[in-house]
Amino acid sequence: MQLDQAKAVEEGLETGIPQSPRREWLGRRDLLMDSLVKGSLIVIVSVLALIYLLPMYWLFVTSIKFPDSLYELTPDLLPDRLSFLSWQRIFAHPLIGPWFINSMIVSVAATIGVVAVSSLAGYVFAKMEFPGKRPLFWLVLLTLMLPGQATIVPMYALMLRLGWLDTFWPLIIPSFGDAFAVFLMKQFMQTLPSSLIDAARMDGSSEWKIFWRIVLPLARPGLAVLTIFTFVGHWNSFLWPLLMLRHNDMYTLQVGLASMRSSMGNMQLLMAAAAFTAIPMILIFILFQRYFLEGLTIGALKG
Amino acid sequence: MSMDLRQLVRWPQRMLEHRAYNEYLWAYIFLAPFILIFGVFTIYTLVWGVVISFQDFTAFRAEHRFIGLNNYAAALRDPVTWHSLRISALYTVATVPVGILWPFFLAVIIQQLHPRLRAFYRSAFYLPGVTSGVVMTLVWVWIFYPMAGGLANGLLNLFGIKPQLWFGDAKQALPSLIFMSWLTGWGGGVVLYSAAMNNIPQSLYEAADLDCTSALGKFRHITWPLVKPTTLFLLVTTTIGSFQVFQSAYIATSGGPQLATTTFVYHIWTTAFEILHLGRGAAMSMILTIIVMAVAIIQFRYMSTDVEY
Repeated sequence: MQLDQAKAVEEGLETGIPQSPRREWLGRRDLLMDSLVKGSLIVIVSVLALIYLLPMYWLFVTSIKFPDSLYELTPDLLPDRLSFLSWQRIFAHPLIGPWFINSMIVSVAATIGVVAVSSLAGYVFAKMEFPGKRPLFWLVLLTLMLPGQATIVPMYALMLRLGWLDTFWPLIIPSFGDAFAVFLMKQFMQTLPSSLIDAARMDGSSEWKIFWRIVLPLARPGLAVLTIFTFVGHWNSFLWPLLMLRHNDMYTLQVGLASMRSSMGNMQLLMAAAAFTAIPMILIFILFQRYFLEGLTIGALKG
Repeated sequence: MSMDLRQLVRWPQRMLEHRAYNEYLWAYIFLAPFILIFGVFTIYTLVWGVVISFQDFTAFRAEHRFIGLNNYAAALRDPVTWHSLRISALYTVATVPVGILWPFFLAVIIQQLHPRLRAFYRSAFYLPGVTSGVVMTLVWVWIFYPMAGGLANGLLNLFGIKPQLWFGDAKQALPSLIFMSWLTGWGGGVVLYSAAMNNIPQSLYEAADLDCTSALGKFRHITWPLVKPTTLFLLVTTTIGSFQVFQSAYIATSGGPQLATTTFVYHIWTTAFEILHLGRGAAMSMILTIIVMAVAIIQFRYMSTDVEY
């Protein structure tokens, strides 16, 4: 008898399954609770995400609704008749093309400049030494704390004096002095191995070659993050272009879009224009999500 | 002794040949573009802004006289200034708590999920923020359309409430703006909190489990304290951002109706760029800077004292 019992216990232990039915149910119950909790969390967060994304959905759906069905009292979330009339009109709009090109010019030029200037400066702060380095970096950091609005008035006066009003220069050049970009680059480049750089120096390589052939390729992820953030930031910027640009054929897409607001009459056209403005950034986000999320965390967690 | 003399004489020559000198040179060269542009467009403009605030600088006259603190006095005597400060303060107080707690809450929820799902929801919450402020404001202008067709009125209609004016009503405009901010643009906060929570070692939660801590207890004693750096960062940036809100007020309501949504920066805008009184605008910008920095410093002091790692 004792031997049988012992054998039974041994079998139970080996297979690892609780022996009594009650024990079995308790074990399964934990798993069940876990899945229930997880499941309900997913439901909750999905509902919240849907509410969050509803305005964007509403934006796109409005732009393709049948024009007459636009002004009904009950919201029509799933229209059965579609019409691309507004989109046709947007593409035929005489200023949409120029606005798009203007946004492109400004965003691309600014991004190239910012990345070039900030990567150089970030590298210096990260890997090189020179007298006055620490106080200078502190000064740069200090300006990050300033509200952006502190300088718009004198900047306007400066652009007035320089004769740069109603050109693209004020939208491009000043952004090269971006303290945050330099900070980002410095943080990132600090993580690169100094040994490679020192070895190259000992081999007699010039500083420029070191930067161009060693540091930059290694810094590609950081550069990618900076590129994307800068590009999106410029594409979406509003206040500064609004202030600087006078003629409506010089407007960037955001400013042009805002100028369409006063023609409150055609909301569908406005929504189509807004959707048109948003789509490039949405596409970029979907393609390069990783870089957005990484960039945010580098910037904030270490700051 | 003679050794010292020789070394002394050789010192300038050695310094010139020193590797460090070469490095300094290149450091300055690499840094030059940034310093040049930063110097002109950040430092110089900052200083000049202070100078302008003491002048009667308008775009109409060529010479500008020093008028001391007159701009500041005029700004502070103007009732619109105080009104707009109040509007900005109201807006900030109404949006900052939500801007911190809501992303925290969302991040906690998605933290319980599988990492892939987590990444999916992080992106989902961040996506609306990628469209510009202009686009989002216009969508909400449409949502808050005062007549039939607006989603907000449509939803109210389902509950039998009659259509509201929203942005068209002086009493509803600011609340509408605030409500809009609650449902847009906290995606960044979710990502930050989520990343910070990822870094909390699982062992802490397991230890809490052994002590039979409730879920709420775990949040209060483990999660919340350990994401304090993120909370501080969000607190400061959200406060600064909310206090300076301009875009949505400009696009949705043009500061109205009847100045109901004239935020402080909007007031600066109209002063400096519509009536072109740059001197007074600069003075108000300085006031803004002082307020914002004071609040930021206070927040830092208050929260930094109990940041633990």
